[in-house]
Amino acid sequence: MTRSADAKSINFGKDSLVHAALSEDQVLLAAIAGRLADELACPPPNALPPVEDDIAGWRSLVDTGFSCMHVPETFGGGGAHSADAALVVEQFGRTLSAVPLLGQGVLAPELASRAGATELVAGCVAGEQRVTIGFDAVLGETARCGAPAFAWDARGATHALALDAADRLCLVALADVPVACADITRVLRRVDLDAPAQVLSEPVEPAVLTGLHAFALAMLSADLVGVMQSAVDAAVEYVAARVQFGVAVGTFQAVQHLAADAKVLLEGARSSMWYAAWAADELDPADALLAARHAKAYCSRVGREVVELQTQLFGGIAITWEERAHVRVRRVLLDRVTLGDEFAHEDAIASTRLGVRA
Amino acid sequence: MDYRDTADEAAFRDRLRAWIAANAPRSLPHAAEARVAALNDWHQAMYRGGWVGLTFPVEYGGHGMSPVYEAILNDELGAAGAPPPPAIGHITNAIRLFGTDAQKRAHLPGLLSSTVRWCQGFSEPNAGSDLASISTRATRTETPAGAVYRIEGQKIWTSEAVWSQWCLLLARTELDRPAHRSLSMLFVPLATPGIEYREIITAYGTREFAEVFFDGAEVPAENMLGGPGDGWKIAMALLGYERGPADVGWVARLTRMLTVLEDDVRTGRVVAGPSERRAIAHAWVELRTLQLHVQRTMSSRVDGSTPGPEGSIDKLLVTRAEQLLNHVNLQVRGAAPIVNDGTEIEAYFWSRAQSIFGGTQQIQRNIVAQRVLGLPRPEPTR
Repeated sequence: MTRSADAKSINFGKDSLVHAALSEDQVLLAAIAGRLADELACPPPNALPPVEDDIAGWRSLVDTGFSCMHVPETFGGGGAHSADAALVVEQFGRTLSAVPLLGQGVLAPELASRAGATELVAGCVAGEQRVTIGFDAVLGETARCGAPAFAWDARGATHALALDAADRLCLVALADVPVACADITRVLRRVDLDAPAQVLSEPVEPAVLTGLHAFALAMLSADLVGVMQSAVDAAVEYVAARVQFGVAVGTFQAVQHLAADAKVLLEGARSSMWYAAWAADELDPADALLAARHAKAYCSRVGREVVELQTQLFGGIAITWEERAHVRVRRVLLDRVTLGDEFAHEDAIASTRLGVRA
Repeated sequence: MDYRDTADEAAFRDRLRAWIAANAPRSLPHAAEARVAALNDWHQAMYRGGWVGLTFPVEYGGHGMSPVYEAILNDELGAAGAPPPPAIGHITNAIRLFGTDAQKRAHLPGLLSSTVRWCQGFSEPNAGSDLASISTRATRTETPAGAVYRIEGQKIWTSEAVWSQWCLLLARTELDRPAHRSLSMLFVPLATPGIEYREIITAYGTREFAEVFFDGAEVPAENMLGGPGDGWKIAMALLGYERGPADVGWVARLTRMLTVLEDDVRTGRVVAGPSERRAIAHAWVELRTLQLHVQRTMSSRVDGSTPGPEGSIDKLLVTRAEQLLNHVNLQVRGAAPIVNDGTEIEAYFWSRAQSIFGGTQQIQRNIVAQRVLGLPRPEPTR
């Protein structure tokens, strides 16, 4: 992620630096993560939902260091840049992986390390502590102790993270029965309101929580970009092969234009997500949050648009359980509502840019 | 990946901001002649300030800088509410890429300094989206003064023809070759005898376009850009730049529009309720996406590559942002622009033209589907 590494020596003088582009290292990282994500891809829909915890899959995330890759090295994590973490999250979104990278390998250890919960982070890094992020009852923000909440991406998890009234990090136990989550690649569980919360930290500074918020929105955006990529890839492959009227339906302009629209929105989403993912580690929390709200608003809106275009391109088979198209739709529906959809973020953006309304 | 300005870029941005604050006109006149004159003054001032031709070689009056500076220029002009930069990226790059040294020396300085204005003669009444089917002919003829091309035909939608001195003309010269190999590109002085034009008044009442008629106009054979039969290749490269939102100043124009709207709401000149405020934020989200995507496009050009079919993605993102922004602008401003027909209505009509000119939205989608996504081409119907 150093800028000098990607500078190409051409005729633009000493200032010839690539800005909005992946470095060679990042391209390689995405390829390596993509290979593991392919191995850990969502099973075929007729084998869904995978109720069992995929222990081997989880271990491979831990052993490769993709889990906790953004946790600072002082906590035993990988110390990677937020932009690199986003590229990895994108790959697991692309393969609709049910292995809980985002909840347990990225967001929970992020909150724990920002709160300074050293022991818990060590357990996450080792892969032995199965703890995921908790969100409130509308999936709008980090869970609060004593209030109804969901453990998000909780497959195999024993506990979720929440904040108490003083913004101290707490570990809360989970209720037994999973909720009927629309996203069949993720497990959501309710937290057990009767079990006592275990306080793990001192109060977390508001600016730290703002930075965490920005980081989480960028990672959710990355997952959305991954799902969109998968939708475009699959739909294009399908319409190039499906024959009607004696030709591939992908030769018809009406069909081509749907695919083109999906591609345009995907690339706009990627451009937005890259910036937010970079900003999470580079800008002050307030600016990082605006960048993240932008990306999450755009990816939430066009994420649904792209998987709906995919549905139309697949035709009737998209409405069957056997075809994977609905799995993408389901994952987008959860991602887009988690921590706020485009409307929530645009209201917040209006307050930031136009001033709070009198 | 690094979005932060380098020290040089930050210094450039600071100098640019100060220069814009001191030099940019607050507004432009609405009437055609006055507007063109004011824009011309602005573009010449930009050139004298050192803000035009940022990526162009120094020997032709440019500054030899990285393409990302074009994105910075567009962002800063727009954010300050300044008029857009000259829309010359497409013609200047075509000359830079395909011209002889003599042609570059002859034409680039005037283009960059906005002292010589150019128009582009591509479309014809029967060749719009199907550009390769143009019928304007340029026939090579030997005369006592040397070889000339004699031009017969008609062009349409020629932007700024009335105000221009030169036309970059696409004409059929190689009649024995297949359509795409039979076209050539010519530099035509519009004062040449045998050229007439008729202005087209736009739906929003302005004069930007013209029909241009060629009746035996002759230009020297050395006025050809590239070789005989290279016209299609050059046109496609040029259109790649014309679709680049920072190459022709679209990002600056749209950012300016949103900046003005946001200012009007912040200061209470326009009252916005919750749904209007959300709509403005939505427009910002789309425009910000365009800006970030343009940065990415410009970064990808740092290796010197020319715009490929991916440029159509940029054009489609501009269209999406511009059309949404104009809906929001009219939504928030309500009846005011309707009972006072002026710049808001003109901008709205222009936003509808965005999906028509420079290759329609449908042509751009064809390009994305067939040349970016690799879907098979349909059987030609010709």
